[in-house]
Amino acid sequence: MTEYAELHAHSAFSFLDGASLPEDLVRQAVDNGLWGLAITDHNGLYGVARFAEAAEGTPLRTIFGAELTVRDDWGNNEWHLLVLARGQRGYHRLSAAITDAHLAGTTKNDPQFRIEHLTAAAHGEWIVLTGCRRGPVRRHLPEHELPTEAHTAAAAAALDDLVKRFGADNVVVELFQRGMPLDDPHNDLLYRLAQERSLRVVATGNVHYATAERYPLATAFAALHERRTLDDADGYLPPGPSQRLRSPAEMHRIFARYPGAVSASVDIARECAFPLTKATPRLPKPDLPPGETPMSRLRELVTEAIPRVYPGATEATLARIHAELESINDLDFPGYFLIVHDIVQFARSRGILCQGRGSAANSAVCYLLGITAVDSIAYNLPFERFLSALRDEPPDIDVDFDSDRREEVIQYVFATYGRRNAAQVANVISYRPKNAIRDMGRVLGYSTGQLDSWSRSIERWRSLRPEDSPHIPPLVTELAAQTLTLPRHLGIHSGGMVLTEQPVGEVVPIEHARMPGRTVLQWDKDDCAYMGLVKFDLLGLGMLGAINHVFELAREELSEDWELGTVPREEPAVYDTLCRADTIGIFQVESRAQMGLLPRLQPRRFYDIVVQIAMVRPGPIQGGSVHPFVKRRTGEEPIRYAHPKLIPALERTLGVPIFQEQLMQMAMAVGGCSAQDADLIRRSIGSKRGIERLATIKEKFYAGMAANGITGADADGIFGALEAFANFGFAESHSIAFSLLVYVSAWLRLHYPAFFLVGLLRSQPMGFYAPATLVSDAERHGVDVRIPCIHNSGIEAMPEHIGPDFRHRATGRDSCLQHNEADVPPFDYTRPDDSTQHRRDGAFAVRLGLTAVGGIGTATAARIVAERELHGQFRDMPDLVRRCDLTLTELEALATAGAFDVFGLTRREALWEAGRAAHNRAEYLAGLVASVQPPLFDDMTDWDSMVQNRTSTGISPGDHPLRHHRESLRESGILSNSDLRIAESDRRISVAGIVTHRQRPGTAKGITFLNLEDETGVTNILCSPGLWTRYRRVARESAALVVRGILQRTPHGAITIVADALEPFELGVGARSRDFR
Amino acid sequence: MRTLVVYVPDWPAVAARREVNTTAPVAVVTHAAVVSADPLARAAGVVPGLRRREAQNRCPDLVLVADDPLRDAHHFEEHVRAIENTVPLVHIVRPGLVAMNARGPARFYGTEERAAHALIAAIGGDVRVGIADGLYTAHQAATRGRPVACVPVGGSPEYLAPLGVSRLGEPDIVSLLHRLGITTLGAFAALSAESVRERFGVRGALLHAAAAGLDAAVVTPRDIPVDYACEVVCDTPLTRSDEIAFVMRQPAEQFIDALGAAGYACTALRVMYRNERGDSTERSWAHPRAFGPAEVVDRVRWQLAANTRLATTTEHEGFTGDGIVLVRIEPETVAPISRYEPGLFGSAPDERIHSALARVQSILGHDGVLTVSIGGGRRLAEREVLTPWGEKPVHTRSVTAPWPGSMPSPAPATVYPTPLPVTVVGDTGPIPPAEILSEEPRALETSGRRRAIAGWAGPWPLVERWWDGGQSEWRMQVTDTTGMAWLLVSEAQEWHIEARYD
Amino acid sequence: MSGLAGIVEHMFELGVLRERIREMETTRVEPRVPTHPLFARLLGGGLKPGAVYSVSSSLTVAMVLAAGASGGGAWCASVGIPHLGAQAAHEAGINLERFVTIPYPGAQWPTVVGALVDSFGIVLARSPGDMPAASAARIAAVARRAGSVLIVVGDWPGAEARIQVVAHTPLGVHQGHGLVVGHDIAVTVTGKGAAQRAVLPWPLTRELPAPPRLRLVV
Repeated sequence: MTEYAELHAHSAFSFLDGASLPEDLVRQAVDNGLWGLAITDHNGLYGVARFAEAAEGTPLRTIFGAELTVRDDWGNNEWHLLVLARGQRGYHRLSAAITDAHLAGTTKNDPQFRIEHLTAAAHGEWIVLTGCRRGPVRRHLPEHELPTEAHTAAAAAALDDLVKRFGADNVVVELFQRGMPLDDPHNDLLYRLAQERSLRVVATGNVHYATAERYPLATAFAALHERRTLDDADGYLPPGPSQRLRSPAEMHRIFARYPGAVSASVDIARECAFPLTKATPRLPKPDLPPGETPMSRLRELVTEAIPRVYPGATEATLARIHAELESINDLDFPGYFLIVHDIVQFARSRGILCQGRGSAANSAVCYLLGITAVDSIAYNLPFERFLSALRDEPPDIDVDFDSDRREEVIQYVFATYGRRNAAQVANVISYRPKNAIRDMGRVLGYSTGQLDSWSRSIERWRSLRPEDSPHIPPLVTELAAQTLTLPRHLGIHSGGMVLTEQPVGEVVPIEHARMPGRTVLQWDKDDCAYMGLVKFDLLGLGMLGAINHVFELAREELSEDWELGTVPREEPAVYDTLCRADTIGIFQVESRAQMGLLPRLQPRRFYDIVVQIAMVRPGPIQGGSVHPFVKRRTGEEPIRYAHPKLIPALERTLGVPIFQEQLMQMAMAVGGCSAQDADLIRRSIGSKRGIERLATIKEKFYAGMAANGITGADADGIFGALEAFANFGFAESHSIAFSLLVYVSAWLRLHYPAFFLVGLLRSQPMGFYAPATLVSDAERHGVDVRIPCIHNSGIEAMPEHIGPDFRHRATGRDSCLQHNEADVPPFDYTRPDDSTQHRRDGAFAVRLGLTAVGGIGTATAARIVAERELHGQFRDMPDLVRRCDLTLTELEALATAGAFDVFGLTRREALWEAGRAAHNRAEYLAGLVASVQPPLFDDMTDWDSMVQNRTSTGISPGDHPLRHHRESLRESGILSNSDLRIAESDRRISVAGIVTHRQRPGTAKGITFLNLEDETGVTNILCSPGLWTRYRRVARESAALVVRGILQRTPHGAITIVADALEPFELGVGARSRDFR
Repeated sequence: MRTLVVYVPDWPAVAARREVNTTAPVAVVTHAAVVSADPLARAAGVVPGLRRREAQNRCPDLVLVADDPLRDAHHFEEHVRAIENTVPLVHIVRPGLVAMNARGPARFYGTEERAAHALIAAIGGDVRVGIADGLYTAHQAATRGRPVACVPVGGSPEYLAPLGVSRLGEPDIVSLLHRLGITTLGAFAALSAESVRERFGVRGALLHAAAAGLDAAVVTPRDIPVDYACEVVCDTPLTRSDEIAFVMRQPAEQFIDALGAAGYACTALRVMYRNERGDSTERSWAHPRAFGPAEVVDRVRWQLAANTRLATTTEHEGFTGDGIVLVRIEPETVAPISRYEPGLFGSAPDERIHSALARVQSILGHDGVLTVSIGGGRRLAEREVLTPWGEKPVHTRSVTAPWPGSMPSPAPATVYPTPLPVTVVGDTGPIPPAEILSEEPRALETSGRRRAIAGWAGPWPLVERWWDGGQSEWRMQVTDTTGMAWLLVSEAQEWHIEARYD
Repeated sequence: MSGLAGIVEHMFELGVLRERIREMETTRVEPRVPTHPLFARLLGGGLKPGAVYSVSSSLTVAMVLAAGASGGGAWCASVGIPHLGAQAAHEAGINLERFVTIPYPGAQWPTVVGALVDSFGIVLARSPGDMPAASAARIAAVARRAGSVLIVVGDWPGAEARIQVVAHTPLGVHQGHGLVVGHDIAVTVTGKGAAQRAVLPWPLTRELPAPPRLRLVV
């Protein structure tokens, strides 16, 4: 009989100590005809969900275990204990023990395993192998010389100790072959010890990779783990590819001298194996008064809210609310809604702005509970969509919070539900071409500069082909290609939290995240989804922070009180702004691609925004949805459907799939897919393993389509769209929630441009543009922006009254404060832009904060502001130094920024004075610093001031470097951004400007987009791959460019320059761009 | 003082280029930044001060050479000689930059310009000369020489005035001056000396004086502690580099020891040779820390190699020059002993051993006598690191690493420097190396001799340095019926005898 | 273990007259050069300063002979043995810090060995085979004068003692498994008296089951 189960295998989730994914190990184990396979990664169960998923439907039995790093009580003496779980109960005990050890530590990757704890935790539910060279027994045998009697005695004592702790039935002596001369003496010795004690003996492969081909990568990982190059690690590397999965026949041949050692593996596997999905836990029960059920509580909350939220609600409204509650009851999800409600209530009580999104969030119930500010009844989002979403998937509500304050919410959840019942979801950071090239180049001994150069040249996202990168040594690319999709390290998912009734740590280990106060599961969101763990996404959104600032400023300065839900709806001027693509700073639609689409789509109602922001995503772009939609929307193309059954799914988007929900509906309508298949599709979308998963239903899908008479190009088109969306699609339910923020931020920017700029500057870094661009844009909208000032600046940017009498007096039209109930008329782009007449904060300028000055930190700025508020303004620089203890460098920085202009000093005088003033620190006697007349300096020119502002704060209010070059540029026939608006289309022109962005979207077939900013606006430049190659150096390295090219204009006025030549432009001042983000 | 400065642009890169046989651009770097870039590298946008990573970004095929002032000095030797042949009494500021009093050469060659051109002709290549009142101005002029820049007497302030303040070379002060709107040396010089001293301190005041063309020429004679000089007279003229090295070893030790006894470590030294025709050459050598005896000997050898245009590695070849009859070494600069690091070779062997081995070396050559140390590696021969007597062993493989797959103790007493081919034979024929042998081995056969096999262990895999093209090999142990045990290793899939347990 | 006096006594009995005269001339008992206890016993307490020993076909034995002196601080050289395993030498107890090898002396063998025995405590040299007797005598004289020990791998005319390997028994290797864990080297020692036999267990640290670590076979 030649059966064998591998009981000791490390996957790539042993991070740098394993070179194959669990999936690869499963595939190889099946090929080798193994009876079963155990995954035994270090200190965790990181890979088990993937392992279980991969083994589903194969004959392979799954065994779960881990190799635990045990530490002696006081010393740093570490050794490894290999534990296999005996079935589900053993699994829960193992997961709990790992959780305990990780939480007992204080930092990431510092689990505190103690042998006493493990002894107590085992309860006869674990099998313990004597393990590797660092195992409890072998660690007593010297690695590179023959064991003496003393060594043997120590090993025997250790084995006896194990038996005493875990019981003779649960301790198995492990033999393996690593291809080293001492293998035989060691195995002989261990075999003898086992025989003497009547213990079981088992042969394992001590596997670290599926096949011998992975040996080089395993050694590269080993070197990387030690932060050495392969050359330096040579003396530590295993001498051959022995630690691979072997076939039963091979194992029998190798271990023939130890009778029973191979067949014992199957006995042990039989005692341990179980299907992992049996371990799925349930949601926690809310804390309720006696007699109440979650559903009764939910009804109560909803009923309470109706008179407040829907005063004078119609029958139809009430019927819908009732129907929603009924389906929530039917599906037994009230607990989920109560938990989200609880979290949102907490946020509101702390004044943390938040907004729910997701399939269940677009319900009247969520609107009533305050989870979302989108009134699905007012926006006419039909109930069926909420219902169908809820029927096919578990509830999904993501909540976005002001990103500066999200941590408070997360800590609240930990505090409320407990560290052992709530944890964040991990994010497995996988190797991608750039870091693969970097890591593999490093172990092969290449220098950092070379690695930089190579990884920059890898501007492609997912592939890594030697022919694409001929200048990178083939060995580097070959090795790097093998690492792709392998996990590199565990990060933290942006905000996913899992809450469970049974401690979640018994299902999947919890460990500390790198960030203090965070505890995280060892599984990522796909693993959690596979295992049916319910995830709550609590995300941070910078724009919510910015919006919150604006709300607060409007309330304080103008007594105008807004919330997300009360901002006046459907104001035509807001849509005009969008149609003009005048959107710098507005949520989501400020990017180059969105700006390009806005004039073509011409959004005129809320749902148009929903479609607009879902459109610029890889799914719709690669799925070929964008052009048909635009043509149908403008009436250039008739609306048609591949099959009448598709009409319900696609009607709202003119027959073109835009949202990922539509794909699932299509699959069920015409693809012959069951609800389960649709669920698989849902999980595939946006998932790293999506494409592989889709392949499993491809045949069925085509058959279903054929049955509906959809074949050939139509069928390929539909399945192609599915695959494209699997790459990345946007859900309608999310798009709706985001659209509200688009609308609100656009409304705020239109009515409070100064406050809005303050909000954006305070929330940096966020969004697409650098502060300098945001400031220039605000100035173009009439906002007066002022440089930092020692008397008037706060810590951060703030509004400043232009005159003394304007407090609480808003400018603009009061009609802006009402909901618009009428339809928004079509956009008339011949009408002049009257947006300045909407401005309500016209009495305010924006004063940059002290921290805007390079070299002034928040602590220093806070000290200055506090001292100023406590004891009044500063007399002069020495006074400032004395009271706030500034250093010479800080003084010089403030002087350079012009912050001392209020002292009647020029910047240059202040800069000179700084030397003397810096001596007036509090520890010296007062008044010792005599004021002597500084040398006479030349007056600063506008250029000088602009340069100093830029170098000091990155911002040059009221000025732009290009302004100073304009005259000579004009002489050379080079146009400005504003000139382009009236220039003839399809002509060759030249523009000049600072490069603010370089981008190469994965969907753009190698095209690079540049944004070129001058004093009048931002111009889009399109560079073909050929041009980019030709001008590579110039294009990458120049801070500013002169671009020659053809001016292209869409019918609605969107302008792009298709470049045919690039030339560096000597700007005379530094500038930085945001490249390839 | 009227000063003439000879300047070779980007000297460290030029010197480095001579040692890295390449047609690619070359830059000399410290761990962080570019120190010097050759013209090819400059054309690719690599300039001194650029961060190392950025330099490689701009120019991916850039060859990086670690900064090494000794190399600079070493290669600068020939230029110094060329200069000295034209003008005696020069002062080496640093390799690539030589200063001298201009008066003498000007008088000899007629004018300063003619002297400058004579120097340029003598050196050859891209060389610039600057002449001015004072070292700073002459240096600035030299960097702008096309190829000669001559600043008239009293003309320094005017000459410097339009130059940018960045030429002061102190980034923080330069940045501040820029922000004050002071962009030229002239504008800087125009500030009052008092206010500059008050605002910028002593450092600023010195720069201010330089910017005003007021620096003192600092071509001063060296202060040599003559007492410690050491001379070796050779009865028979020596014509081989290794002979001289051998002869110098003990004097070098005495030289360093004597300085050490007086509390000094030698940081720069001067080496002088005289040959049998009475010609002498001398050079000075600096050390970044302090010289040990072996390093003194190295410099002596290098200088000989430089003077005879032989590569330092061809030490066994005779050189073409005349026999050396006298070598003199003297300290040029010294530092307090606390900075001195102990020599490389532990305790010195006693004199009898030394002289015996010296004799053997004189008979068999420098590498006829070897010391042995245990190195790293999986193969036995790799673990024996052989080093010529008197040199420091260089371990290319980690000595402390465990080298998994290496043979555990007991080690075989006989290790063949080159493994000997052998055939492992079974009942049906030769058995190739593999993880599982194709059949039971019966005998070892070498060139007709056959030994019957009694037992065997292994094979064990031996995959070494796959990233360097290392192949999959195997190892096994075999015992024969005479009681001898053998260690076999495969090379290119053929069995060889690596060692014998005798 | 027999004391120093006993050895002298023994030598008298063997009639090593010249030695006796020399000892009397120097009016003190020449200390023996330390070596492995097994050989110390067979060679009368240790190696004799100024003597030449000949060893046949086993470098292990040669190295074990030299190790005592080397471990005790004497400088040790090897001449004409390029295949001498450094690792084995180290394991035998030779201090590599005070060890040099002259692997290829070529025709200069006598000169080199002569120079080394003059200053080194112990010299291992492979016999060049065809050495003129005069050279051998000269080298022996230098060794005697300097009090150093020359161990010749191969034949040497007039050696103090000849140590011949008569059998090797490797241990630990089986049919397709195992590992060389050591070997037993059976030697005969022929001095100026009757031949003696012994078995050297290798490595020295090897833990042997009974009988004791040192086995004397007479």
